[in-house]
Amino acid sequence: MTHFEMPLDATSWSVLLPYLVIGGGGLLVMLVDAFVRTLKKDHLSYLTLCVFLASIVVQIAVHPGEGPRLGGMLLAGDWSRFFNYLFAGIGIMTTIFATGIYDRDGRYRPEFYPLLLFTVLGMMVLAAANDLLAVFLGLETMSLATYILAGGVRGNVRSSEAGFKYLVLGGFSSAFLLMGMALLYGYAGDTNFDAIARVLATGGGATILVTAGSALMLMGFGFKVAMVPFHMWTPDVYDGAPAYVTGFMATAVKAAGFAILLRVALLLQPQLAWAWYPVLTVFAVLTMSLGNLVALVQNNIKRMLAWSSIAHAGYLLLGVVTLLSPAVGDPARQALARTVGESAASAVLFYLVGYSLMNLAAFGVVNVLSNRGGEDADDINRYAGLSRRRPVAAATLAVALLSLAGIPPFVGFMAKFYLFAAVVKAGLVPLAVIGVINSLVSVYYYLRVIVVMYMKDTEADSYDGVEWVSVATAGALAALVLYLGIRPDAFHAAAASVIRQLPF
Amino acid sequence: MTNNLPVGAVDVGVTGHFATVLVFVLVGFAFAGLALGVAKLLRPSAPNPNKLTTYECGELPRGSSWVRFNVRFYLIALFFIVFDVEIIFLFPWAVVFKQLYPVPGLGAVVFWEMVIFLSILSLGLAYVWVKGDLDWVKKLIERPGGTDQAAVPADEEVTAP
Amino acid sequence: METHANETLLRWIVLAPLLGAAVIGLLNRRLPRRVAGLLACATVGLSFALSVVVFLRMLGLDPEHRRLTDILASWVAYGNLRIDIGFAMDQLSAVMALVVTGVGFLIHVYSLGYMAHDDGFRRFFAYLNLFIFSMMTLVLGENLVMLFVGWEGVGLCSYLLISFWFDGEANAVAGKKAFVVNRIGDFGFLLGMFLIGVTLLPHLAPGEGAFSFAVMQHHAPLLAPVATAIGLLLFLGATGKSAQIPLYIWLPDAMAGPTPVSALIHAATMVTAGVYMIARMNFLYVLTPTAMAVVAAVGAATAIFAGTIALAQNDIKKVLAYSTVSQLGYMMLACGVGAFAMGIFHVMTHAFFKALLFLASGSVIHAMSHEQDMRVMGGLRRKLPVTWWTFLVGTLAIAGVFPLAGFFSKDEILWKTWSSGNTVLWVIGFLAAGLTAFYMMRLVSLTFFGTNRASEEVRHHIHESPATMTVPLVILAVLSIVGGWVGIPAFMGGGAHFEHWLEPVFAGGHAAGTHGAAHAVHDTTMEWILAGASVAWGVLGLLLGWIVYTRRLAVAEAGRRFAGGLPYRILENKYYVDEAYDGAFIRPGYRLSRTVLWKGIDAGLIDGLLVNGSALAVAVVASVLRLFQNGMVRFYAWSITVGLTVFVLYLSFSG
Repeated sequence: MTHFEMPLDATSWSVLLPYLVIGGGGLLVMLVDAFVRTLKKDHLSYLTLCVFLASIVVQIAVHPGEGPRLGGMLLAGDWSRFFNYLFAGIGIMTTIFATGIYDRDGRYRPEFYPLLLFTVLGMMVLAAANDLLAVFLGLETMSLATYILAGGVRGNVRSSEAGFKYLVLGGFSSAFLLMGMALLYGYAGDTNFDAIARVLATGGGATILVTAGSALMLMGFGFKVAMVPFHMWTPDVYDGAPAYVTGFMATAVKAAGFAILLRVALLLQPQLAWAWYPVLTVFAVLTMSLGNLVALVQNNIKRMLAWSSIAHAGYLLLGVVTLLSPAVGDPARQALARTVGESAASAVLFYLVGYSLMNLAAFGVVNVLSNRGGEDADDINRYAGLSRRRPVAAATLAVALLSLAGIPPFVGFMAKFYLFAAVVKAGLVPLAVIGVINSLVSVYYYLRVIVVMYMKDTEADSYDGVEWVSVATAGALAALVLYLGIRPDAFHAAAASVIRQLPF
Repeated sequence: MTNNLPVGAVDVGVTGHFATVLVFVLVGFAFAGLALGVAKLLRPSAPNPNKLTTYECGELPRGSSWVRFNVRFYLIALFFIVFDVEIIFLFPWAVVFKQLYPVPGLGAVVFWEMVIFLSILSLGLAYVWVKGDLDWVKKLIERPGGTDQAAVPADEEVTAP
Repeated sequence: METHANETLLRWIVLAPLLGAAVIGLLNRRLPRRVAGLLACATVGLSFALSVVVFLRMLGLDPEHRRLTDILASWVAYGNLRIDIGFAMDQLSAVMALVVTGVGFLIHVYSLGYMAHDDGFRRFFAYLNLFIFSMMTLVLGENLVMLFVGWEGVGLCSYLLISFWFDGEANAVAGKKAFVVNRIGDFGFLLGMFLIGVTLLPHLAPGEGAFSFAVMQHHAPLLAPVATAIGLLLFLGATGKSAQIPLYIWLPDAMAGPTPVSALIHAATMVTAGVYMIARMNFLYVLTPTAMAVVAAVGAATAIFAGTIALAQNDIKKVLAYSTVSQLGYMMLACGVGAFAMGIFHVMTHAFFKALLFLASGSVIHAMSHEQDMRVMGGLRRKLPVTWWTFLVGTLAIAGVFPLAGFFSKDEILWKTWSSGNTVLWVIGFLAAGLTAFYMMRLVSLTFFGTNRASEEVRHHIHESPATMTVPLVILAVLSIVGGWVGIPAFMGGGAHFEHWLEPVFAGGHAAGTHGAAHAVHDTTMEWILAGASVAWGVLGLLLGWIVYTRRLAVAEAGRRFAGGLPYRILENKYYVDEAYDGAFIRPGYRLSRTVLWKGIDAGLIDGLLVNGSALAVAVVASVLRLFQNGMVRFYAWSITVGLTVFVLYLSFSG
């Protein structure tokens, strides 16, 4: 009954290479931190950057081909490469921001760097997973490291609280997720996605296992992407964690969560679209509406961005809903499955990238202003007059916020445009209308920060203090936000080509 | 991982496995209930305050049980768990290793995989050792760039359980 | 579709002025005045020089291949909609580019002198450069969307420059009026564009730019069913930009801007954008006789209507403004009868002589200490010799005196109108031509002849303008004389070079043959007769104007008092059109805004119910939600469980 395949031929090594680089790099950074006594403070961050760059170089150089590899555990090809680039990019930005703040708040945290690399490793595995075991492995590697990152400012009550809450609730949700996977395994008799798809296609077996299992799994992923009603940890954790970690969580963790959500949605679609579609529709609408509504009354910029990230998760969920919609429609609608699915999924990918850019830019600026005793610069009122004291930082934050609000010519607008266009193309006009109304509501709280920065005068307790590398990095992100807003099509085409690898 | 049974047979087989589990659970409950029930029927009942106190290895339980434990206990517990899990991994590996070792090319791979796994764990051990986390009282580490402020002050009282 | 040669110089033609605008606008006061002015002139000069270079390259190509393109980037690519950021130059664009950059350069130089003492000197040149950039985007845009970008850009610059002296309320109001009236036109333009997109997109292969002129022309038959609607909608846009009935009303008020602006934007270049656009879309218009007829009728009506108003204006720039409206009517008339080439020919000659007239009038105003009322001028002939002679040349040119530039273009338009069988329109055009000659001579007589009626102090300051102003005048005067010789028609033994040059662009129009040359009556005798008649008619108008307003002022006075002074008052008040619009649209609109929209909907519904109400609702909701967000981990875990339970229950009951 047992058969063995050669697990590690040459192709497998080339598939594994980026993961080995990041994982081995994490170990290396850890060892260097522990054993090299003559280490200067910035050296670990340089090493971390080198590891990220090496992973990018490796993936540019080595193309292991398309399709499941390593006994079906990981999906090699453009899809995973796309996300690996994204995670590496976010990792680089986060490293720069973190290093920038260590210079001034005196809280040097060398364990941050290996943890960041391990988190990214987990995300890479999660996004490329082609097997339930790989999903869980990636998810937990990512999560455990993120819990520590969130609670990383030891001695800071809010950070510890954030880490603790995230750990407890994350463990709670992981338990459900694991239960869901177990049920799905019970149904299909296999953990491999392709094998599960084959069983689902035949449609036999105890349906209750797969419906209940998928519900539990949806909850697990919904927790990671902050979907209402599994979102409640988000504001507390985003608020408590240091700004550079929050920026990382709001972008990379969310992207990884949506990567696997898309994969699982596509996997279960033939059997479960009828169940996921109505529920996800309700959740998506709830997510964006609640996110925007509560964001309106926040005075704390990190909390505001946390609620805004919930709202953006809602827009992204619209993409997933759109993806599922053809399967529940009449045959004419079903015939469109591929075009609708492609446009929705590519819109989601584009959105993830655009959202990551603008959110990182925003958190980068929040982070760089946080120089007083390790407290983050989170009080919106204390941004008064920033445009006069720190014009570049203020302009960067303004661009990021305008883009988050979906105002042209920034990438946020194009991202929403592609997304809502896909929604409309699938015939879900009411959902698109709800989405657009929500974006309109969101303009209020984003603009409020800009008003404070540009139209109020500096006061005694206004934030100040800028570290130029971080500002330049955030500024470069803002420039990219503008560039992709004006010239989105090439990138959108790339996202669309990534999608073609997936089965519809 | 890969199941060679025909698709139709999978369902029955898996359900069958779960039936075994179910029977096991039921028998477990029944056994415990039976034992406690029979004891209840047989034993004399003469409680006094000393008998009713919680048994704590001979110590007298005093005060509330909701006291804060020193975080160091958790660290030790975590290290223990990590190496515990390592051993748990080693057992199934050891069982399969015997079958796999003769297969040409595969034996070495399987062997080195476990070596890598163990070295990663050892690296972790070395890390916490060097960082001083294995010492009951952690020393502050001086760094050129600043102090690791996270260390627990040496004079903090250790709360015993 | 023919292959297009690439020409990367095109982008620099467009971008050079933008660069100038950016540098001057951003550095502003950090830049010395002299440097700012020179930079502005240099960038436009560079544009002109590059246009000439590209034009020369074009001359070396076969007529069919004279379409050079320069695609910078793909702007939008969604589904099979593709829009490029790119420029293209064919024969039509080449003419426009040369005129815009050439005349623009002269007016830049002129402005150095005219604006020398103005506080907003740098701002003025930044705007002016920005205008040239926008205008070149309009003219060289590879597709209709790029054209529209330029279209909106020139509208913006026009607004900024009309209100340039924004501390005067009238100037600000005039700018706003121009902006709002143009928006009405743009509304039509946009709808027309959408209609084109909706009609073409389903039939296009991916990667074909639906709005690219070449593609649209290629697929013109697909547009045929909706051509009339598109044509009329686009024409609505053109009536806004090119000041035709019913949207001409902003142009006379636009004279509030500095005079070089009036010359450049509101006479020579921007206002001809509508004509250019219609000529550019000729392949569409030839499909729709109805829209063509409307264009021709509106053009002719505008020509005579504005001409009569010009008779009774006393502000020197207002006369020229109405004259511009009238001349734009001619250009539209030409397009409407299918003589697109003649329309563009008139755009060119008009750019020369009207820029000249405006700049010369600017020189007069400059000399008269910013007095614009002709009733207090007079006798400036001797004091401003250069201005006087150049102004006279401009007047003769606009009156269509042989062999000045205006004669060839205007006469050709009238001939094409006649030969295409539109006798009524010809009569109207012919009458308007006489009117033009008459009111222009009235202007000249009141300004340059007789005795000076200004106050002693003003009279003391009268002086000829500096060389930076007079040299452009002389150059433009020369152009006003010789500019028409490139288009001497065949019956006079000329080569009609201009028409032949543009022929490939309008080939589709002639082939379709509903109008213009194909139907033309080739009657050389008639052509001679009509040409003679129009010259005689123009000279008669000039003479009458001269006699009435210099020798027989009593006749003028009698005209003013004719029929109780009523006709004169009507003309002086521009047929009360502004008042009619005011009564018909603005006041009711204002009242509607005030009572229903503001007090009812805005204050009541939106502020009261939606804003305050939703703020209240948000406050209530948020206070409820705050209870949920209580920071308790147990509660969070509980809510996760509840959410999950609901989901699972839903699945079990609906499955």
